[in-house]
Amino acid sequence: MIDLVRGRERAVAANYTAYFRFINGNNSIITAPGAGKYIRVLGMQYGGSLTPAATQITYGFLLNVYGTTTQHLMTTCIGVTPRSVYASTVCNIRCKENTAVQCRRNGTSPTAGEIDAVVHYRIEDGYGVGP
Amino acid sequence: MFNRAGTITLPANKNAQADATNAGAALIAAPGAGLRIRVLAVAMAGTATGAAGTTYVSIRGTQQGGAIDLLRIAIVGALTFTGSMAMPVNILLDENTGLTATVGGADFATGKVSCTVAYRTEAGTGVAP
Repeated sequence: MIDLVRGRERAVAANYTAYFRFINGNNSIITAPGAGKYIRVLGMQYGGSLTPAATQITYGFLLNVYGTTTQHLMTTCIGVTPRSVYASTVCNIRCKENTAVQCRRNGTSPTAGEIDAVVHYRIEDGYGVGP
Repeated sequence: MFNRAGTITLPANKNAQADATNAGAALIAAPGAGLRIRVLAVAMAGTATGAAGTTYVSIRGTQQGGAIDLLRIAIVGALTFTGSMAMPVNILLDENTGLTATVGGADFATGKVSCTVAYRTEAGTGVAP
């Protein structure tokens, strides 16, 4: 793909998708790309159905953008009755160099269910943290 | 749209729609040699209840020789999925490959999920870059 910047052509990295089915814990949906590269997240979605346990559960995506702490870019809180969950968003977030994008479940394990997650992204050259 | 050589014409944008039940459904047929599909937006909406096990519905294409899921939901057992999602994307598929509303895993017990995509067909050969 070609982009035009100030009269010059430059190559733009291709866009890709990553998929992961998750229910518990933290799982990498996109692994760290290596030194000198970072992930730019363009959009994300999840959809599924589950039966929560007795307490509320939070699902979402974790990114590391600035420092040692992680940010949640999209989360949903789920109560204590069986239900379907679905959400999608578009963004343009530059992750910290050589860090992964994770799916996360926070709270008590559900008794049944699974969620399918997809992240749209590209890999770009760069160092350090997000601007 | 303009570049230094003058005006260039972009291919027209189109829509495709299919309802996924247990068999899945073709969304966009392979466009032919020398052509690639660029997916611009994906959407999924409906209600479905799974049978035993986990069913999934996916808008699926091919990139760099492998299957990719552009939008995907899980439907687990008797837990009914009811919802809708839509997302703009910019995904170039491999030459002469199409897009399907794929259903995998266990079957639906009941229900139907509508899948819609916006796309255009561009000239290009080989796998997506």
